[in-house]
Amino acid sequence: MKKTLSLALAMILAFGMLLGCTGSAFAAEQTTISVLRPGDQDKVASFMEPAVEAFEAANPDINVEIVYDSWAGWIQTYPTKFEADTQPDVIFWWDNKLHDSSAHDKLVNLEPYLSEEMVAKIPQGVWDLVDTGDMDGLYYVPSSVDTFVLYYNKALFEQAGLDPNAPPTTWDELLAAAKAIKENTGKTGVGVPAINGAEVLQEFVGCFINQATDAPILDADSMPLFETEQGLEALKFLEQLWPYVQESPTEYGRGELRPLIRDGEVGMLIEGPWAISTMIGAWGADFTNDGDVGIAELPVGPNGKKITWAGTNGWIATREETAEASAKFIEFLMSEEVLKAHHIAYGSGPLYAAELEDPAFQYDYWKTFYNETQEYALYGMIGKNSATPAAYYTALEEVWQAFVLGQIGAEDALAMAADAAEAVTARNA
Amino acid sequence: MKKLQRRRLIISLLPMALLLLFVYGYSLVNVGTSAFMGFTGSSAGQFVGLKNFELIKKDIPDTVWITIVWTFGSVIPAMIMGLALAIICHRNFYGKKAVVSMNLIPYAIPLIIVASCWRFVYNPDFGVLNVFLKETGLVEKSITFLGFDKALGSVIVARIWRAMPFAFMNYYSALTTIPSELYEAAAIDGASSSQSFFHITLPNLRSVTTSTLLVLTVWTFMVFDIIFGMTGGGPINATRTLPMRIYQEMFGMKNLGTASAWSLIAIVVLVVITIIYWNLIDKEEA
Repeated sequence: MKKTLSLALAMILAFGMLLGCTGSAFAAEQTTISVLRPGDQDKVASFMEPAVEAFEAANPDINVEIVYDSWAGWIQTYPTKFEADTQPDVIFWWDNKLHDSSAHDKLVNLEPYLSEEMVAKIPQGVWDLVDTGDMDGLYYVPSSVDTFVLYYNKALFEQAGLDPNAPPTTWDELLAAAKAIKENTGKTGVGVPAINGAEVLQEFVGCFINQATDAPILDADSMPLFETEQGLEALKFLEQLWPYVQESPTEYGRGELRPLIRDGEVGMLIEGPWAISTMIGAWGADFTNDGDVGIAELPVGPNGKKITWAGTNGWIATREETAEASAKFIEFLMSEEVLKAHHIAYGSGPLYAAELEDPAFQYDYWKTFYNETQEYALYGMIGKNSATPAAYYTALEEVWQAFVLGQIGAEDALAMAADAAEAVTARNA
Repeated sequence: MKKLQRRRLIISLLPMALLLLFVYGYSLVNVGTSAFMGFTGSSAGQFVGLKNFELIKKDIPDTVWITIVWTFGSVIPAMIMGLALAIICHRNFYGKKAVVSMNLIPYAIPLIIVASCWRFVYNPDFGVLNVFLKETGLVEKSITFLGFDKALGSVIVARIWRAMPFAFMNYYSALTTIPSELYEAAAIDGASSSQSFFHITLPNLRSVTTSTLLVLTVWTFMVFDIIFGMTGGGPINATRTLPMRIYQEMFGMKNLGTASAWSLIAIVVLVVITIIYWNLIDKEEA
C-alpha cells in the first residue's frame, strides 16, 4: 500500500515538474512588454487599448501591458523608477530628456529594428529638432509635434477697430494689434503665461529669441547662444509688448489664459494645439468659422524667417532584452491609423499628411499646425544635451519673471539669463 | 536606583533607542555627508568641501529671511487669533458647539487642498475675494494677491487660517483647567476683566503657549504644500522658503548635494530657534 502511494505521489510530482517546465518553456517564447503614455487615463485608454488588442492579434508572441500614470505623477516618479529599473519598456518621452541623468543609460538604440520607411515619413525638421548630435543611433521616435500658433479673438479685434480677417503676420503688427486692443477696449492685448514651475514663460520668451536669432537657445555644449544683438532685439521687442499683457502675468499658466481669450478678455495668445479643446467646447469643431477665435501662423520677426517653437513627445524603449518587441510595438504605434487615433484623442496636430484626410482634421486650423511643422524652422525645448534639462527652465524662469514684471530691462535680462544658463552648465561640467 | 534596575532600564530602552537612531541618525548623517559631496558632472560621488554651499550662498540671506517672516508671520497671528477664539468659545452662548466645530474645519483639510482653495479665493479673474471687492465697489480693478509684492502676505494668510485651529484647540482645552475660583476671587477683589486676563488667564496658559508656539513654529517652518500649491515659490523668489529651495534643488536642479546643503541650513536655523525658545522658557521658570 505504502509503495503504491509513494509511486503515485512520485508520478504526480514528476508530472507536475514536467508541466512546470513546459509552462516556462512556453512562457519563454512569449515576450511581455509594458507601455506608458502619461496623461488622462480615459484618453490614453481610448486609443491605446484598441491598439494593443490589434497588435497582440497580429503578434501573438508579444504581450503588451498598459501602465497608466498622470503627467504630474510620472514627472515626480520617473527618476526613482529608472534607478530601481522598474520603468516600463516603452515610454512616451520628452525630446529634451534624452540625456537626462536618470534615463540616458537605459535608452535603447532602435535603429536596427525600425523600418526606414517609417523613419522617412517623419519630416526632417522634426528629426533636426530632436537631434542631440552626440547620440549615435535612433533612441527616440517623435510622435507628436506641437507648434506655437497665434490664437486671436476676432470679436475683440473688431471692437478695437482691427480687421478680424487680417491677424498680425509680423512682430510690428503684433505689437500694433496688442496696443490697439488695450487702448481701444481696455482688454489685454496679449496673454503671457508666466506662472512658476510650468516652463511656459521660457517657452514664450524663448520662441521670440529663436525667431530673432534663428538658432536654438543653447548650443551642443549647453552654452547660451542668445547673448547677441538679435537676442537683445527679441527682448527689446518683448519689453515693448509687456504694457499690453495681462496684469500680474506670474499668476497665469496656459490653462488660465484659454478661457480668457475665449471670453474676449484677452486679444491674442501664442499657444500650441492644447487650447483647441477649449474652443471646441465653446463653439464646436469648426470654431474658427462658428466662433470668435481664429488661428493664424505665428507672426515672423524682423528677419522675415518662418520660425516657431515646437515641442515633441515620442517613444523610447528602455530595455535591451525586450528591444525587438518594443521596436515592433513602437512601429505599430507610429502607423497612420494608430497615430491618428492618438492625435485625435489628445488634440495634437497631425504629423503625417494622410492624417489630414480624416474628418477630425478637416478644419483649416489643423492645416496651420501641419504647415508649420513642414515649412517652419522649428526650435524647441531646451537642455537636450544636458543631464539636467529641467534645471535650465528653473534657472531661466526667475530671470524672465523679473523681466516680465518690469524689475529688470532687456539688457540686464539678457546678461542675467546667459549667466543663469552658464551656471547650470557649469554645475554639470 | 540600583545598578541592576538601571541596567534593566537601559536594556528595555535600547530597541527604541536603536530604532530612533536609525530613523533620525541615518537620515541626518546622510544629509550631513551629502551636503559635502558632488552629485553632478565630474565631481559626482566625490568630496567637494564647501562647493555646494558656495553655489547657493548668494541666496542664503534672502531665503532665511523669507522663511523667518513666513514662520513668525503665520505662527504669532495664528496663536493670537486662536487664543481670542478660545476665550470667546469658553463662554456659554447659543450655538457654541457649532462655532467650535467650524473653527476646527480648517485643521481637518489637507494642506495641498488648502493651497488649491486659497489659490481660487485669490484668483484675479474669478476668485471670490476679488469678485466680492469689485461687486461691493471697494476696488475697481482686481487685486493681484499672488503678485510679487503681495504673494508672501497672501500665503501667510492661508497658513494662519490653517494653523489657527491648532492654537484654538490647545487654548480652549487649557482654559477649562483654570479654576473658576480664581476669577471669582479676583472679581470680589474688584479686578477688571483685563486685569483678570493678564494676571490669571495668561499666566495659567504659559505652558500651553510655550508648547503650542514651539510645535507650530517647527511645523510652519517646514511647511511645503501651501506655498508649492499657491505660488510654487514665486513669483521670482518672493515665497521661496527653505523647504521650497530644497525642493527646487532636488527636483528642479537635480542636485542632491545643494539640496542637502539647504537642508543642513534649515536644521541649523531650526536648532537656533529652538535653543532661543528653551532659553526663554528657562528664564521665565527661573
